[in-house]
Amino acid sequence: MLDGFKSDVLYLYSKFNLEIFIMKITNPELKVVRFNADDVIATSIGALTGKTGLFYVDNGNGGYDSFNGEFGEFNASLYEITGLYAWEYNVGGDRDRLISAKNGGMVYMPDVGYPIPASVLAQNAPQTYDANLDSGVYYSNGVSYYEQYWNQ
Amino acid sequence: MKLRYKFTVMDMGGEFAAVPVGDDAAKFHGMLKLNEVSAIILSKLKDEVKIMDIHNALKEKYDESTDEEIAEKLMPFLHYLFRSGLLMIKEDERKLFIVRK
Repeated sequence: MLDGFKSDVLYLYSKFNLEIFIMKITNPELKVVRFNADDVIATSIGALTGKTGLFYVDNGNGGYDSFNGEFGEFNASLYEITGLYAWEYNVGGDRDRLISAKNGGMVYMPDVGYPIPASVLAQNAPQTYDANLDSGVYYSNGVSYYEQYWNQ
Repeated sequence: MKLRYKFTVMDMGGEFAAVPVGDDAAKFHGMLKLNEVSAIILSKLKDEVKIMDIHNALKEKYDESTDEEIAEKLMPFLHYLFRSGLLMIKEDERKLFIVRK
């Protein structure tokens, strides 16, 4: 249970399913970037509750570490999804690396060489999103994601 | 990266405006209203420049700002110029502006 913790929630769109990540935060500094790499998890939040698996976490150095974790129980009163921008950055193959930026932070992409405000990436999303891609590149602020996908 | 058109920047008592000059005045019909920060950025872009050159110029002017604060000023304006078709970028700079699979 994420007691009063404002979670980083990363939205990742795939051609086949919308994957929503909610993690049980054991280290509040962690930013989850991926869960079970290639698995399609679920299309509803309820189906995620209690699931355990391998999390991939942004280590802040351009890569990610993995650890075993557990999905927390979703409770709408504990979550605040505002000003969240999520970025999917592909290096080499599909979805090699994901970076999340919370509340308008900076996104550091290793081979770009310059920090980019997450808000700038979010603005660019509608122009660059391609639904025909196998794994789409997708950004939004938290409100539009919530309205569009959260209540599925 | 570099501006597509030549502009002259006018200081109007703390506010700035950039207008195209020469032949470019016929190609770009408009004027850019700038603040001090964007005026500095625009002036650096009149010649081919790397993003870190612009960053360092801003850092020199606003030496109490952090690198992230500089980036938060610089990147939105560059993206605006790029989306407006006013900025020419090189291939290795595309990652600053375009998301790709």
